[in-house]
Amino acid sequence: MAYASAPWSPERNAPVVKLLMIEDDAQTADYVRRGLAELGHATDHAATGVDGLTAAIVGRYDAIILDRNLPGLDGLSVLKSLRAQGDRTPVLLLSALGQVDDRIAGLRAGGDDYLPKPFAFGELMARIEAIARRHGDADTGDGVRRTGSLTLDLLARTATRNGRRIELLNKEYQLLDYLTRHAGQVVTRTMLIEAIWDYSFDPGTNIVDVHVSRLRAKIDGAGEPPMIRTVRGAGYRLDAV
Amino acid sequence: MQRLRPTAALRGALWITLIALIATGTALTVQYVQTVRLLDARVQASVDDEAAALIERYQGAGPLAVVQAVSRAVERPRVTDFIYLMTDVAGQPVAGNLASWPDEIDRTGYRTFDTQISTTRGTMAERQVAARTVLLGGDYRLLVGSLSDDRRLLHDRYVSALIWSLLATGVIGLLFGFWYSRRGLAFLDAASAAGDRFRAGHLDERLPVTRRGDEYDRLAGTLNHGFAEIERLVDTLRTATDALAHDLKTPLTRIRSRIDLAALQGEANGVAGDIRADLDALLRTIDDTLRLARAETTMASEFAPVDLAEIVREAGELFEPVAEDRGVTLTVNVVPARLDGVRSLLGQLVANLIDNAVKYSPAGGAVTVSLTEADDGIRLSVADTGPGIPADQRERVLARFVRLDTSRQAEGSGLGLSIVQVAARVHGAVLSLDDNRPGLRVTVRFNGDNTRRS
Repeated sequence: MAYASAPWSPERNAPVVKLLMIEDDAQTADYVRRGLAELGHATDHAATGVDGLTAAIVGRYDAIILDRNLPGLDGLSVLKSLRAQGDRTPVLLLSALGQVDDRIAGLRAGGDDYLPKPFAFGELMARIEAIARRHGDADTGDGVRRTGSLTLDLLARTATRNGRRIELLNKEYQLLDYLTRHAGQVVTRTMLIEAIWDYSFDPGTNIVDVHVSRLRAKIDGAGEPPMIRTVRGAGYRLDAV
Repeated sequence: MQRLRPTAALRGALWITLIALIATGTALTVQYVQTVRLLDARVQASVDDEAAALIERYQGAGPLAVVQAVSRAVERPRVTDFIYLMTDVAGQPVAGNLASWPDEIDRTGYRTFDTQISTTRGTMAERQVAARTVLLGGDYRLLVGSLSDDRRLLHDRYVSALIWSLLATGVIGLLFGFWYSRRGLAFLDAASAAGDRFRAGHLDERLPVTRRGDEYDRLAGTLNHGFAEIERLVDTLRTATDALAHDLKTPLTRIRSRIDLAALQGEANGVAGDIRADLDALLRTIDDTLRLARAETTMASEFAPVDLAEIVREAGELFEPVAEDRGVTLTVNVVPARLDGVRSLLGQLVANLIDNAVKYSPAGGAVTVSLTEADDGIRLSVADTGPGIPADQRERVLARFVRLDTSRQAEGSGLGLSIVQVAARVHGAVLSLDDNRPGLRVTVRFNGDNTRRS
């Protein structure tokens, strides 16, 4: 995987979010904080579960990055306490244990997403934006989602672009549904594999790419601008064009 | 679970019964024989007394006196009923209560026989007699005997007692023997059931230990100790795996973050890209190794009902575009198949097999994935039209599935097939490689015990 340039750049007009990172490894926390600052996000840091829980309750954050493995009060307990107090702030769990059951336990405890360590910034950012956004907006409620020239009928599970009906297979529809739900955000390959195929493992090289390029071929008609862009080193982004 | 055949219990019961029967029969017979001897000795002693008295009379007063004595004794009922017969030279009876000289007695000595005896009321009756024959002088023969019906009665009693006690012993012996054998077999049943459950991942399974402290308890204790040791080792492995994951990944996360940050700040050059590629490869290997270790220690509590047909169908859909890009035809045939398992492991198993088959198939080739139901359970087969594996090397390849062979060269970490092997074993399935003429066919046979038909 070539990695000549940064996948994320500060110029990109991503919404600025206020984050809380609860992570005991000071160096990791520092690098992540600085990286997020480069992207224009403000990050507070707490090194222990107790500090983190206090900060999460007192401050108002758009999303919380929570390490599972913390001294004293561990990540899952922090999460459970938070949820028990009715706090619905989106939480992205980080863990060195990337196993399925750990992931399930994390999501069950009220986590919104789960990211195994070590992670790429791209992956971290994509997931934070995904959960922070999910927190805010919802579909209009009329069962139709309009993204630029693309219209998804969520009930009939059909798609049209510029009035042209697009024939989609089941998984292709799910892929498009996911991409439009996160329109304007970077979505990583791992996120797609997890969301569409429910695989917690990498099923092999370039599988997602093949599926996305098929979807592209279907939704981009002659003369229409491409909707799904490849974000180098990170994943894909569907733009509302 | 394989149940022990009940005939083993029956066989045990029969042996115990047989031994009880022999013991009972022997005891009764010995007692009978001794009683008979005692009775015989008593009768003989009284007969001998009487005979001695008559001989004495004969020697003192001659044959006539004996005749008188005998006649007197016969006419008067006495406490002990003696039997007498005195014959003369011609063998004619001269006195006594026997009608004639019994045929059975031709010599002197002690004999037992049945004969007609005239009673004091003048009638005749068939009685058993034990008698001694004595030769008096002047060719007179004298037979003195005593009724020994007791002996016959005793014999009858002995026979009926033998029959009844053997019957009773037989019934009790069978019941007890069956119970006793069942106890041993019940232990074996419990032990093999516990072993099966343990093997299926219930690592907290233990054999029941009673307070009797017998051999069964000792054996149960030994087995339980082994179970506990395995559970401890598996726990240690899991903990070690988790600790390793944490310890390895923390520094790697720092390195990764540093590179990303450098890239963000525009300080990265070409080297950063190379480092990150190496790092990614390293991480994939660590992930796969940890995944493998975790899969090896899968617990039964992680099992849940899984739709294997759906997993296979979805994996087929996932790989279909990839196969098409390579010019390979991917065909998936499934029958409904549900089993208890770990979804993610089964998903990896199927995905890795299809991935492998697609990778090794030449353009224009075909990969056929089929899920069928055989008599002994569900069968998953993935066949390709690639170069295949020569028959003499398949064993070795299967063995390499098991070991973490570093010499394996493939895309990714190369542990994919090891995961297939471990996932199969965790689900009690057997993996085999066959010739697809041309190509390779990998078959995974799921044990019928673990599978449920929907």
